[in-house]
Amino acid sequence: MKNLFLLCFFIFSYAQLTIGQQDTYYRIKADFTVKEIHTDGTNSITMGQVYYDKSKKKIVYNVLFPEKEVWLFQDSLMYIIKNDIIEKKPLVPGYIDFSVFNLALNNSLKDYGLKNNMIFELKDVVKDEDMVISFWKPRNEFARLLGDVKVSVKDNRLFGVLIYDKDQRLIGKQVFLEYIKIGALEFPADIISYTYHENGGENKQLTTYKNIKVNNWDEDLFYNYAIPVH
Amino acid sequence: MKTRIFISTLVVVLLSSSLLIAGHADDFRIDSKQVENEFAELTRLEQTIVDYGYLSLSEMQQNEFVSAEFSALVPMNSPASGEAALGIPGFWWGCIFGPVGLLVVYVVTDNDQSQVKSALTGCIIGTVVSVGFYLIYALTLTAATI
Repeated sequence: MKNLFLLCFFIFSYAQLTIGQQDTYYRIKADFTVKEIHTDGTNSITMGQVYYDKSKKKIVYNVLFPEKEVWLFQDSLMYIIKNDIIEKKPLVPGYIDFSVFNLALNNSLKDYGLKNNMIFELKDVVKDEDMVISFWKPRNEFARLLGDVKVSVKDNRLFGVLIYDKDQRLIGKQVFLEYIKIGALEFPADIISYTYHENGGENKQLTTYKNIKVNNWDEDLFYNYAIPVH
Repeated sequence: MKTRIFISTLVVVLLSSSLLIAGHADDFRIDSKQVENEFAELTRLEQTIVDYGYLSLSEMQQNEFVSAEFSALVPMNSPASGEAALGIPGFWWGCIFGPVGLLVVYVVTDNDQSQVKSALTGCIIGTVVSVGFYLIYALTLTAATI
């Protein structure tokens, strides 16, 4: 009876600890810079601050350059708010769920959020040199639309993601170059993304996050950003 | 003899599987020094923007804080699609999935008029093609029975 009590106690404590760790981080703020080199030779740079509260599921960018404006990602829409003028655009499905902010705060970054999703299923895992690579295939009903995804983990962190189209042509590659540790949370500091076009061209995008803060109570205005009402 | 065959088979299988596995890690590798060099100009501009307290691009250009080579600077592409639902043109949503596809396009693109219109066209064409197909099929069956 005593042993049974002890076993229950340990199971309960472990469950509490696991749930507690997952809920530890719920807000994140960072300074961001996105530098892009386009196929046609033009460059672009966007800078500002980004805010995310996982309970609100809103990503808010306070853009400072090239123009001062706010981008709000909420549900299936992106709002661009500039001088009280609101522009609305449809959002790529899954943009918020698969964002680096949501994945990091939900402890799902290592598998790129693919572990608990309805679209992809794990087909194989191999160890190659210093990486553990997992192969994900779209489930039957999605195979006509999507291709495979390969995810590599290095030093127990997400290192890279390769995205293929339905004809298994590589269309995107993301490599997480560096991480910043804030308490127990690891957040990518530099992400390089490549988009490969059918005509052979490629776009390169380098995203940098600095001055990362977690669970800060300041700046509620941004975390709970509300669309201005006229 | 049996043992020798078993070992040979095992060696062949192991070798072929290791050949399959080899190179997977290389697909993910990038030359970080090269990345640094490619983005060096933009990194310098990033510092200039911070130094001048985040002036707007037009102000930076007016004051010639950015060199002419950056005059081609375009704002970052937004992650909003404005395109097709799940990357599939509206026409095919409507054509293949009919009214359900039309609904998907309506919801996912937040009633993007051009996409919804394409889906509707696809839905009508898909329906006409299906009806035509079944008519021909029925006529062929009838002719065969007569």
